[in-house]
Amino acid sequence: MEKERIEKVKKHIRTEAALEAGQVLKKITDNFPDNPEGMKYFYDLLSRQFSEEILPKNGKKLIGTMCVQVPDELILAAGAKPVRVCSGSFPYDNAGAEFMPAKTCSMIKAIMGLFQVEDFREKFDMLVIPTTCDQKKKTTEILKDMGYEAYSLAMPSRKDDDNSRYYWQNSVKEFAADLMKKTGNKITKESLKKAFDLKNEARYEFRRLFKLRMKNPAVIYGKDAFLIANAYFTDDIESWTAALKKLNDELEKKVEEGFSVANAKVPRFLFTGSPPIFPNMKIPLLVEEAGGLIAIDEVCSSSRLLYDMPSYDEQGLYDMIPAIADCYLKPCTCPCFVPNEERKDKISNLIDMFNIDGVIYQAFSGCQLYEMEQKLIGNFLMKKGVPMLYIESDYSPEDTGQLSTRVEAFIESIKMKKKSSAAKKEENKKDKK
Amino acid sequence: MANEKVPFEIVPQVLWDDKFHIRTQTGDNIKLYAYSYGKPLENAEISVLSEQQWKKTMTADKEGGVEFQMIRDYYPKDWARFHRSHRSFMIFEAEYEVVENGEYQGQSYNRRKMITTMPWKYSPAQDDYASYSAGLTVGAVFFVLTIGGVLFYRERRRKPFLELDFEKKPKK
Amino acid sequence: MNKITKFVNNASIKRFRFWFQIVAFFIIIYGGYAAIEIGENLPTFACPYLDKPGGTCFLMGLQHRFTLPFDQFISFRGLAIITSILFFLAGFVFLNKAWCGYVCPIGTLQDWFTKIRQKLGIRYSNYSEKKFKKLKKIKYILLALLILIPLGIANSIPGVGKLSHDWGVPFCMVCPGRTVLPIFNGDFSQLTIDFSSKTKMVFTFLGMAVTGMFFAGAFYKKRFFCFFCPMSAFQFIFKKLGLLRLVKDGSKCTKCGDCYRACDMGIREIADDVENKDIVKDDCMMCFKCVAACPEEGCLKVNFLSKTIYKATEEGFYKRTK
Repeated sequence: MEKERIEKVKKHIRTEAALEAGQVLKKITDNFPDNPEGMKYFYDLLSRQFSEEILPKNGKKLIGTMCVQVPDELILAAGAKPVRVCSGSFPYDNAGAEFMPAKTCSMIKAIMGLFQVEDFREKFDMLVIPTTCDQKKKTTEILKDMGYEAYSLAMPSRKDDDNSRYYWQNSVKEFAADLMKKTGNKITKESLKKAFDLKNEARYEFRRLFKLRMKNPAVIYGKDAFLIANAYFTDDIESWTAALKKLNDELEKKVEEGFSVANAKVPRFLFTGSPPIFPNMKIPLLVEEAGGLIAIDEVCSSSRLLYDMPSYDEQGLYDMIPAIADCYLKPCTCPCFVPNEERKDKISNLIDMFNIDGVIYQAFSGCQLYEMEQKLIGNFLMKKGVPMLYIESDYSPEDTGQLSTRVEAFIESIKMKKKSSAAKKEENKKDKK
Repeated sequence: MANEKVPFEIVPQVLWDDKFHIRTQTGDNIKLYAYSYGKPLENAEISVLSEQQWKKTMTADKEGGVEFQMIRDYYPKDWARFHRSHRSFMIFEAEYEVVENGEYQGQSYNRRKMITTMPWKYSPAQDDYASYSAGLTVGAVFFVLTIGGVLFYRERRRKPFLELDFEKKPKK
Repeated sequence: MNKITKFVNNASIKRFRFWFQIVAFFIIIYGGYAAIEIGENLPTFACPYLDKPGGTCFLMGLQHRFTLPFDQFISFRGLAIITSILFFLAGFVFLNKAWCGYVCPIGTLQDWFTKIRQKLGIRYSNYSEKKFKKLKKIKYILLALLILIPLGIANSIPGVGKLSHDWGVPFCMVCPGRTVLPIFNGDFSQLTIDFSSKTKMVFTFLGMAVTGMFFAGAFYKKRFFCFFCPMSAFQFIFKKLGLLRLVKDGSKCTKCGDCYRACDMGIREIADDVENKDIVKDDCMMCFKCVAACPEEGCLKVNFLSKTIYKATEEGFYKRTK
């Protein structure tokens, strides 16, 4: 009896999750005009995110990862498929809330709910979780307790000194050794080079998209850009790269034709903070439906995912593996590191490069790291003279009403500021004449 | 090299190496040629005379040349007084007699003897004060020590973490 | 014009540098045979102990010129120091510190050792940050010594008297150029210990020790000797006069560290310094491997007379890592 009840509950959660995904996708595609042709691939992929499709072909092993710091290249070189299991689903968030502490961040609850409801013990051969924030550290142990093969990838708390650098390099080397044991495949310099090339292709296409997002007036919505990166979590890297290439070509043509999705007067925003993961596109959609445009983001589920490119000097494992390790540590702007000056520099540069008018800072309630960095980033932005909207939220749709008021007010204030500064410029021009 | 206007000259056939320091050393093989108006003089008597008045006389062959080995003539009292830059002197002397009748400054002669000299400097042989075996041994020792040092360091680094050393070393 | 710029920015600097270095090596070692004479005050090693080099290293002349009594500093002999430095600069300004990276024959030799090591699959060694900071001071100590010691030959040192002429070229005695470069002429005579005086004995001993360490060190560490080179220290004093410059745009840098990894000398400031524009440090030999390894568009640039001739581009990075 108990078992049947549990199965019923699980089925109910699954249906709700699928429904939620469908609803969000509908909002994304229908509420906005002129979605690019190339996005169809990504919309389609996200509608069946954790289905059977993501089981790899040819008997490859499936390795789940969390966070941006897990070196994908090693997993690809070992002949396995990396899948990022970070979840954005509210029904699974609720399922996780049953047994996780109340103050846990929504993303962790959703992940735990996902692993509790769906039994992935057969699907995933290994789950790799770097020791970034406290909550990620402990979920590793809980997952082990649940019967999953959870691997804790030891990450240092600093990124700027030698001790941390070598500690992390050793950690990655040990990870490579364990991967080889798990998959039974040896990582050779040839297989690693192939993996490097594959991922660099993906990164190069991602950079093209990055450059296209600089265009003012914008040629692609932020919501679409988030989805492209989210699709990378579960997709096969080669087909993802090919689809993105098509999309980039299409967008470049659109730029030449003078097409844009919003005019130059639309306020451009930088979205930063806790990562919005499909289907939790609550705040980005609010912003864009209210007339704003998310030109660029600084979140680990989107722009930070495929930006940094590693390079090695000598083709040998003794150089390539430390090169990969360094690339995932040194430029990482995750707030789990101290000091994190690089995040301020990055946000500052992005604001200059993308003509940003305002910053939207989202923090999940319970996410200590992003909540605490909010003060530092806020002070920094005040000095720079860029307005910031701080939103503390979670996955539940209950606060959508409140948030939409705040977001709309913020957008209005930006618009007013733009008008008045444009008017001032006109006056100055007239005065000069 | 031989000059057609000179009645009698000595021409040393030392293969010039355009090194930074040009010098003849003790032990070098030196070839000397005697020429008269550009033509080699067979049977000329060429002598070499050292600082200590040691003399060696040789007869020129068909090409007018003689060959000898530069001697060692530098014997400082002790090693501290030895200078590798010390130059010893040598004089090359050539003599040639021609039996012929002729006239010179209003007087007739039936025999003509020509004598010419040439000063020369030479240095101590490098092998006398410099040692290849010592040099290469030192080089090889340091080479091996450095490689050994690197390999030792690499083995030692396999410890799991790098220790800081404090002023008082903790007892294990 | 754009096509040429694109071609240059996408090019592999490693290959270009390899061939440039071979040509420069032959000109310096054998140039005299073709009556090539680049100059007597070259900002690179061009050893006068060679038979017919294509130029002469500035440091030997500098040591000879500092064999100068103090009361003759204001005289034509003293003027010689200034004029020789001026002519040193005349050659230096064109390539700045790239004389080290592209022309120096000892540098070329070390790069060849590195290639052998790579073929054998042996991994390289690097200094930790602490050791790096301590060891980099040695080149300044050597530079000071090579100027002060010859002064002690012409002037009496209190308590010691005048040094003998055997102290005449103290740096040349320990330089690997003296022992190693003449081998390319078939001349092994510099590989000896000279017992003719105590001074010579000690100096040639040090010279052979340095040679042994040079071969081993350059095998494991890329450009091992360049870290201790007094020529590098001397050039650094004048680096602002160079027409060839390496500049960084800090606003584009993500501190990814790719440049730091590529650097043979292991200079961290290229990656971490986002404030300064001019990031050429005293160890830098301007080989521009960092520019080739940078994935951010326009972050690192090579400028000649304010015109950019080579810069980091995304496309170039992508093409080179394929």
